[in-house]
Amino acid sequence: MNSLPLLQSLCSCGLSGYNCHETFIVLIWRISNLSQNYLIGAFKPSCNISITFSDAKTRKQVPLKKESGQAVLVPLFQSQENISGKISIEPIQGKKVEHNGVKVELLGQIEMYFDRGNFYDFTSLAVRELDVPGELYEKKTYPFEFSTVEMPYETYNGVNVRLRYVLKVTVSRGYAGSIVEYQDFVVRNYSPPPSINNSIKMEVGIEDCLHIEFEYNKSKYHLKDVIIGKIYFLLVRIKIKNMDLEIRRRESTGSGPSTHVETETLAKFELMDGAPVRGESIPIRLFLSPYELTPTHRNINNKFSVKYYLNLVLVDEEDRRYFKQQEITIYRLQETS
Amino acid sequence: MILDGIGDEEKWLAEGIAGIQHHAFYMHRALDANNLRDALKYSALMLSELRTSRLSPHKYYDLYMRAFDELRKLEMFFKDESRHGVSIVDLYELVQHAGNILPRLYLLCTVGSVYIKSKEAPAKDVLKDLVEMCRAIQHPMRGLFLRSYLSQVSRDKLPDIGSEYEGDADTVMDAVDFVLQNFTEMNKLWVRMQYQGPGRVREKHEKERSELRDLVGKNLHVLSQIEGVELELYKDTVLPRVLEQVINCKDELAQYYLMDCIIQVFPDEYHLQTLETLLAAFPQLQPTVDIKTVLSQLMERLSNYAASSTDVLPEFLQVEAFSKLSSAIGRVIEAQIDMPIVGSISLYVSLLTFTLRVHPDRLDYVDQVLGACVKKLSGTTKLEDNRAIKQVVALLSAPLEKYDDIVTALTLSNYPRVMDHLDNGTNKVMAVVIIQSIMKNNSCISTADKVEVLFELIKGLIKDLDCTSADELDEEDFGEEQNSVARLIHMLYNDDPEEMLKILCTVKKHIMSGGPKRLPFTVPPLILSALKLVRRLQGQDGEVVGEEMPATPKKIFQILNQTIEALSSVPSPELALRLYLECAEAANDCDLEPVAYEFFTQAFVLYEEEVADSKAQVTAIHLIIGTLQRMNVFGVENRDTLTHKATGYSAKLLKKPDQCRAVYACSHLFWVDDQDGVKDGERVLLCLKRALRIANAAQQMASVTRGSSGPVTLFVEILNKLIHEFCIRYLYFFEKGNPQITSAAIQGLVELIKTEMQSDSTNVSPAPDAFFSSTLRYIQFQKQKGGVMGEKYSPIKQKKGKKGEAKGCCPKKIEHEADQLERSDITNEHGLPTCIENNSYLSDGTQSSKKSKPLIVRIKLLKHSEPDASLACSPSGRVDLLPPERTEVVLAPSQPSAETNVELRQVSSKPDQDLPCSTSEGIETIGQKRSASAAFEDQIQSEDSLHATLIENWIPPPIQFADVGDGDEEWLFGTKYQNRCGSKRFKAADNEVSISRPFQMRALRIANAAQQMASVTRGTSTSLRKETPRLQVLQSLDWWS
Repeated sequence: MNSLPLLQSLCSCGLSGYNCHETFIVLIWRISNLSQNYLIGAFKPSCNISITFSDAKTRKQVPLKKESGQAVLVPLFQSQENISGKISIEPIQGKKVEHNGVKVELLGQIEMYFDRGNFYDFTSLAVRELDVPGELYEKKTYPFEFSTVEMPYETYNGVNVRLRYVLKVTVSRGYAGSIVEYQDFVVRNYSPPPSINNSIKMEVGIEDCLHIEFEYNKSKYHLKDVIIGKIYFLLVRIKIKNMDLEIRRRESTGSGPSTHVETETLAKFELMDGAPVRGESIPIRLFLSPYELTPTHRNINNKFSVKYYLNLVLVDEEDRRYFKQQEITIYRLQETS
Repeated sequence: MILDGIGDEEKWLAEGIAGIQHHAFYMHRALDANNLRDALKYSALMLSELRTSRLSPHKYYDLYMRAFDELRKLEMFFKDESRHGVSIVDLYELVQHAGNILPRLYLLCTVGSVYIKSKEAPAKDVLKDLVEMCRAIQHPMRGLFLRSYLSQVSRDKLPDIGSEYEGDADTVMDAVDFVLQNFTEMNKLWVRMQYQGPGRVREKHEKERSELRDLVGKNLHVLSQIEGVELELYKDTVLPRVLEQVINCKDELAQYYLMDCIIQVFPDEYHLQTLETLLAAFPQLQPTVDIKTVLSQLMERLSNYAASSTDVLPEFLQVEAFSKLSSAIGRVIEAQIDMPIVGSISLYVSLLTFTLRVHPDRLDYVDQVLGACVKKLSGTTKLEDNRAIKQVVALLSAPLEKYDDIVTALTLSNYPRVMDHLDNGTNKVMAVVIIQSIMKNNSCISTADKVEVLFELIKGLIKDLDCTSADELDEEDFGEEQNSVARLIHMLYNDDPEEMLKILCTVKKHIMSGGPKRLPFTVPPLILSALKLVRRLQGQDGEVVGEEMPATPKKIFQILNQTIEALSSVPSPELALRLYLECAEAANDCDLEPVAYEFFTQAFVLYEEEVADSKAQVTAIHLIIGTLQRMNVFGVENRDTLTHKATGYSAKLLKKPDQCRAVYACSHLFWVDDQDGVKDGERVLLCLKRALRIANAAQQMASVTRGSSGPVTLFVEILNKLIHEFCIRYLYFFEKGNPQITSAAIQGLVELIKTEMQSDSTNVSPAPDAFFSSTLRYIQFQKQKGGVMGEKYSPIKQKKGKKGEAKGCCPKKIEHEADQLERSDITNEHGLPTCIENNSYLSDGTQSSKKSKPLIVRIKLLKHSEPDASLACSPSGRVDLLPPERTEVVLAPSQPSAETNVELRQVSSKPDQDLPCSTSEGIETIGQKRSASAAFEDQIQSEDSLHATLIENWIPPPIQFADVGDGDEEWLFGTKYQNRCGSKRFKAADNEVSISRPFQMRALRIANAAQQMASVTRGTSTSLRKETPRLQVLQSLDWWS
């Protein structure tokens, strides 16, 4: 847990020459999921497996977007929490399930969408053998508990990459393939406010054409933060039509020559309308809460990174764009409530 | 293309409105459903319609107003937390999530106003935040409307003192800060508009821009409405900051409008106290700003303020308003080099108006203003810009209007210097204005210095300033101008003779430079006013006889002599002649014989050398005779010389009737009714005889030409009338006891007339008959009256008794007595030698008023006789030819003889009375006397024998058309006269007495004479007022004929 803030602070201090290891992340096909269901339907799984968390009623649930695009509510955990609950296995009426053993695993997976099928489990240390090989004739419930599980990375759902945590229950069978059940849950890790949080202030421009000075009050914002700042026009020789502030997310996957970078604009916030003259200063006040942001991820297991940028865009009357991009760090602040 | 543009705009507006309506509809639905999220969403969409750049301000305003109305509904929704369930603080954040800035800010302002109202946050913080956030709109038009919206929703929520949103100690400051900041930003945006768009549509843009100015100005209005803005705050904060903005924006339109705004919205008292600051701003404005209008308005406001109550005047003094304004104007003019001259002058006009209204007692201020103006004008020569000239005229007129007394204006040393910069025409107009002002206020200019200044002012009228071609001048205008100068001269008056003399000298100096055209107008008033002085001196003589006194009549007369001389050389001889005579008379009154003699000499010289027209001669000679008759200062020798000369000229007139009339007028020269007056009966008789002779000659001449030419009857009438007049004349002298005029002579004369009348009875008009019968009646009357007169008349009576049968001659006489009495009056008026000019300058009120009485009566009489045109025709025809003579007679007080006079009024009012009673009342005319003489009812048949004797006795020489030559003089004085009257001048003149002057001159002269008369009349006001009726008489005579 402690390493994350350190990492972040290191990064923000400019030590960003971190080399991610090339990682193959299994990408789960949506279609494969469908086929699995189909197979289940076809071969009629011989038992139902259900996983319930012990504090399911009190635990906060957050929406998680599934592959289907639908959001389901899943419980929310953070690192080093105890994850405990029960797993019930109920054979279908009148059938017996013969198995080579029942186990439950807690997996942290990174899936790369472009490299389908490859899962990279960065956490699988916790495996609990629930039952010895034998036969099940009726519903049987197994309690389980993973105590103080180290989950350094947050759940993340990006464009090209997904990081997820699941509980995987496997009923091993020798001949007919194992029966597997997954239970997703979300992990969010909170950071304390950074001890050093300098403002971003910079003078940029095009010579003899446009000189501006902008200032954002911080370099690190939490997810519900407000960006306060101003843009000061030192020289304006172009006719500016408007000015926007964009929040951009840069998701970089892979490493080395195969690094794939995907940038998306999460917010486009108009700051100014019309052409300013020299000496004007335009206020910035951007609430981050309406946007679906995540904390900045510098280097997740050498597989990917997610960074945020504020992009100041000036558009002139000929629709030419002048912009300046500036990275900000976003962190998740422990909600007080 | 423009049409398309307009069409497009309409289309865009329609689209915008449709968009607003569309989204407003959904917004309403959301509001009804208390759905905050949707309400925000649709309101933002609706407000997005305001993001258009395609509409002109006018159209945009339309759109804005629609959105504004919708926002009111939204505001109502926001206010009611129960409906949306979100705290106002959260709401304030929530609306800021909108992605587009313009809807975001509109919503923010809307929520902000609710926020302030909720009092969950101090008003000042919210306002500060709002006004700061609004900076994000840099588009001028959208920004202006947004800020206008902000101003609109916040104006009742300012943390003003006394308002429910009042904050801590500095609360007013917060409110002011907010408004000022909003104002500043709006102004910046507004100014920026001018740089938009290509040059070709710049003009259109400017127009659109000025449509938006009220949005900006509204802030100043809000500012002025803040209760807490007191003088101190205004002085220290508000004004400096507003001015700073105004100056820094460097925009002509904005600077003009905002300065105007400042002046209009804030109280006068503040302006007065911050005058320095305010004025200091003016020179810093752009050179093209129309400062003069703004400054003028400021000054007008201040002067109104000053006028509102006297309590505030000390404030003006305390802040030295004038000097500040004055120096400000100086600096403005300095700063704005390109300002046209008209601009600076109109500034001075405003300042002057201000000064006159606020400091009416500070002439030095006025002078200072004028001085500054002179300084400004000094660079240029003459103004050519019409508007500038107008302004200068306004500048110069202002003090005249303010100070009733022109004298005040005269003390302004810079006044004439300003006038120097006007062109000639305007200068004249200005001069006329000055004179009119003097006239209107009846102000008297009483020192020579002032007169000097005044004439300096009006020199445009006094002389030709440069080579203005005289042809261009309208004759009538010129006359009008000069008449006003003449009137002005009469306004110069000082009780102190010495000073008065100085004044006169000054005036003379100036008018002498006027040139030939002006002198006839300007000299008479000068002379008359000088004569007035002389008379005053004369009146004082008893008390102060100081030889060392500079203002002696003698000295004055010297000056006058020179002056008139100048006039005679103009040439305007008739006028000069009259003036000489006036002077002579005045000199007479002063017992200055040599002077009077000199004047007469001058008059005679003029007569000889210059008066050529026969009509003018007749007039002139009558004037001379009249004046001379009244002279009592001359010694025997001088008098003889002059009377001889006059008589000589009389006899040499061109027409017989004129000759005749002049000669019998001369008879009066030898018979002055004073106690020690000349009473030379012999010469009187000689004159009368001579006159009769001439009359006879004229008659004979008439009879000679009778056969061949038509208008013989006229001659006959004339002759008859003349004879009748003789009769009167004879009677007059007879009554006066002239030993040479015996009753026998009168008897003979009467007989002669009878004969004449009989012989011409076929075509004689009744007028002479009536006249004659009146005379006879008078004799009869005198006879009946008895006493000394009765005795005198008795011989005549006896004779008449004998001729009693002659009634048949005019049988109708008695019935028409009344008419005839009147008529006789009219005709009578030829009778007397003229003395009018004497009277004309006798300005003593009593005398003139007395005289005016009979005059009025006489006019009535003229009207009475009007219906009988045939009777009237002949006398009036004659009269017309010699208007001056005629009128003069009317005025003549004559030599009143108490016993014989009958008041004219009685005659006219009691026409049926057979014997008008004789009264002892004084001043009457001879004519009236004669009307009384008409009391005779008996007609006398003339006898041939008597006729013959009369002719033999009185008319030795044969009939001549004209008696010309030296011989004529001898009939009266014989050779001895020639010895006595040795004056070479006279001799030389004799040769020249002729009718050599071309006749063409005549018409012009008559016209001139009339005009001069008019000018004299009007110019000399009271002293000559009695001449006005005279003119009326002339006119009525004209109609009559």
